[in-house]
Amino acid sequence: MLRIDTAVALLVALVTLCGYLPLAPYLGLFPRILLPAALLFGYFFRRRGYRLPNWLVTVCGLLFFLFYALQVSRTNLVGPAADLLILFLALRLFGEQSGRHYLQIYVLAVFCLSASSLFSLDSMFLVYLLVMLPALAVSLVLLSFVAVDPDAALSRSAMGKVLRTAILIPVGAVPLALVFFVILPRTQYAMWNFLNQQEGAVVGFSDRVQPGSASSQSEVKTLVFRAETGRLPDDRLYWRGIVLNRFTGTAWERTAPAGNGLPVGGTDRPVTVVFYPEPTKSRYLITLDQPLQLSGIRSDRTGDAVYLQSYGRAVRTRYEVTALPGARLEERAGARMESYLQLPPGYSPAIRRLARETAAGARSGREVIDRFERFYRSNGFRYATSGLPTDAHPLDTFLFKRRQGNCEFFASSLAVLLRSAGVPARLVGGYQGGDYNELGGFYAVTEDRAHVWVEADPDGEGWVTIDPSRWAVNADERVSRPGPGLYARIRQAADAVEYYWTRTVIAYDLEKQIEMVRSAGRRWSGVRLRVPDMQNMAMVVVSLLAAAGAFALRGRRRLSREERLLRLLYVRLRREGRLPADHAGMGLFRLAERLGDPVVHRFAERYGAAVYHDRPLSSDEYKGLRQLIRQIGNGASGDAGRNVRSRPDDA
Amino acid sequence: MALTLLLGFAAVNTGNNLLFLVVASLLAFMALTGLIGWFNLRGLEVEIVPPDEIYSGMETLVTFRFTNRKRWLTSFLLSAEFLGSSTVILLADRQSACSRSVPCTFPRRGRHAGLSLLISSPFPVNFFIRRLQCGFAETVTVFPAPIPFRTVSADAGRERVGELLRSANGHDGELARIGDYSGREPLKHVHWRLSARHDALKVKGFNATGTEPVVIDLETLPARTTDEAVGRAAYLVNDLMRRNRPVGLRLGDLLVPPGLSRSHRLKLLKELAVHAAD
Repeated sequence: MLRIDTAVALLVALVTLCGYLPLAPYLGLFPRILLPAALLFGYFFRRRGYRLPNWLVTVCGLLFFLFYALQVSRTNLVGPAADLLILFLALRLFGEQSGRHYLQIYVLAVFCLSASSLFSLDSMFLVYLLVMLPALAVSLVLLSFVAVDPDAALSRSAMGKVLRTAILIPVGAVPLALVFFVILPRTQYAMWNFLNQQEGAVVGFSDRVQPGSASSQSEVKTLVFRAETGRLPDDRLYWRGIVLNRFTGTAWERTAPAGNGLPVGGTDRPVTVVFYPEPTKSRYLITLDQPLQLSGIRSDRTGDAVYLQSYGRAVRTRYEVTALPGARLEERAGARMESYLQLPPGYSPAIRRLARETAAGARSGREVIDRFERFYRSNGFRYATSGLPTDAHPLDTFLFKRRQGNCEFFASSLAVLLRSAGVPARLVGGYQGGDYNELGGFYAVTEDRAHVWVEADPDGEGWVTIDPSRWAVNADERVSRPGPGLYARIRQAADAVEYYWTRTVIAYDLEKQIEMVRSAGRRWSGVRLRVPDMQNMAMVVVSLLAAAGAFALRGRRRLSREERLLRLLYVRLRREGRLPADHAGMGLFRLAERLGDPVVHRFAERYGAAVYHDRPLSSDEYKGLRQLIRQIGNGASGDAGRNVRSRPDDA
Repeated sequence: MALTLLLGFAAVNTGNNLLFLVVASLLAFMALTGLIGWFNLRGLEVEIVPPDEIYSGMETLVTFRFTNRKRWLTSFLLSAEFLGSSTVILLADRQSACSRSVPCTFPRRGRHAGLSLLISSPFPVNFFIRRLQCGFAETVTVFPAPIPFRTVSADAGRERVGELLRSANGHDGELARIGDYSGREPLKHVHWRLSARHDALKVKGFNATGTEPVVIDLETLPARTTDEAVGRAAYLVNDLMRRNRPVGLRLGDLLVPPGLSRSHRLKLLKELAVHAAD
């Protein structure tokens, strides 16, 4: 015999883990440790009956609540709430446990899992949910046995039957949940958006570039966004984020941009890219250089083709960008370009001299750029992420002494040189390149691909993209490429799963709901059935009906006419609610006697006269007997509504 | 339910699709538990098997036979309640039957019609309890509770409670008469010699050797109410017949001749059960 409470205890631990694990990375140290301790305590001491008394659990709960309530603010709400949930869960595990307490644990575990969605939108959530759901179902079913009999124990076979029935709940619930997920009403804007405190990704680009602020650059492989599009040439993969237009002498910053550029030219056709960014606190939306338009999210476009997410934003993690890779960004006539020549007064005489000397005699801005490219290439500049200049004049050190630095040094130095030479220039921050996922058909761009490059308007024909980092002697080594090995393939497959998760679940919203209804309507209205289609459909329907009929009639084929009559009689009596439960082993005459119905008596006599004398029924007899069956219950005392019959009163 | 509502409210207001996923799962979970709970009580048939003798106000065991006619599903945690008493069936296998006896007390004598059994089950989860009322078409006759009648002993009270009749026919007494064969007499009673002489079958009639028969007249019983009289009569019927004494019954115009068989006793008790009260 299997004790039910033992099985319930195991399932409680599983449900608790499903609530705890997704939330664990975002918890404070104390709750993070206390819950596993409570689980271990439960495991080792449950049999010995050691439990914290309920009053102590309540007092501790109150103290925890007060402690965390004092930490809550509008900006710090979800963190303390998550800590508190886990602490309540741990306290419950330390305390006494009965059916009611188990239910409390389940509710807290579901809350914990739900709270984890406010921190992370990872697809592992689905895994935890799919484990928790069957565990909850089986556990609740077993608890209903405990509620009836606290010491209930079931044999192995009985437990098997219970589990088989219990497992029907999650098996049936999963497809139904998908339907509910699709049809549950969404709103256009979320009022409690402040609760969605997903881990803000540390964006690789910032609104301030300060070369020389650190001696090395960390390279984090955290995903920043996925961009669904076809394969593009590597030199077209410049993911635009921010434009920095003011140089302070030590850093590049962003001020209100002058002008209003529109992409023109370029060698490629417009490309549509669907972006699925990871949660970030940054308002800058990544686009593909040069962006024509952005849709699917409320945003503002500035004059330098930078997109900012509007305030009061919807929870939306998908937007679409149409871009012209390799195009120029042409300013409208009369745009004030002087601000793009700004340099701090008296800034680096050496750099200004180098700019003057290099640009001397050049006939166009384009030629100036070419001369600077030659300067970089001929002087053996190296791309490096460590050993970066950190002195008072880092750009001077980079250009004239060390000649090694990261993209910030290359881009900053070139922009300063161009401005010194009278060519309008600015820095663009974003990402370059990306790992193309063949399975999903998208680029996965990670933090280590953060990049800064230069835009210059050499001859008033529009801003062109210049990436001086490509002029480094070791430019090809700048970004490590994933190898073709098994690990890389597995990672790609996992990333594709995550991508589809984001695309289908995370990014599902009101717009998609409306679109789904519209497209269903369009498809329906667009259905024009041709004769061959209708014939095929009719064949399919007839085949299905035939299969269903064969299934329903299986086993009836072998029945004789006499057997069919008996079955009809039983069906009729059952419909009337008068068929005794033990009719199976009961003779026809006994049945008639039991029921006391004259019609059934007549049936038994006529039927018995033929069948019990080994004589087949004649057609007339058969018809007569069918007629009798039809008469059963007509005008007889009504038993409708009673689903059972008892034996006649013997007392 | 409250959990689902709360999370649903949070999902709509945060637009967080993972919360929608949790809410959708909980809704589906509730729907499925409701459906399985409904199936759990479906296809159940109950048969009442009352004992032969039920006396009012006295606890008795009424047996119920549960048949689960479902083709695929076992029924679980069935609680059957009958007249304030209940029994639990943890598991009723599909396509099979099981019996449970419920101790119960019928408060009054007479025919009890419209009896029903209430089956309830918290399965699959103990949030809601589903109920099914199973009615029985048959009536159950409850005999009056015997009221001990101390003043009447086997012999002392016989003149007071009934009248002595002539000796009844029997099998093992003295030869009393010779009569025509009616077809009911056993062959061993045929008087072959006389039969041969008369050219017709003649049988020997014997006196019964049992104690003297008694006919209980309800009106002569010392009782304040009819119910009390009926109770005393029931006691007498059982007591006298246990002493192997044939008992008859007079209820107003109705006269049931004395008899000694078990079915006769049950018949008397039945008559007493349905005898109108004051």
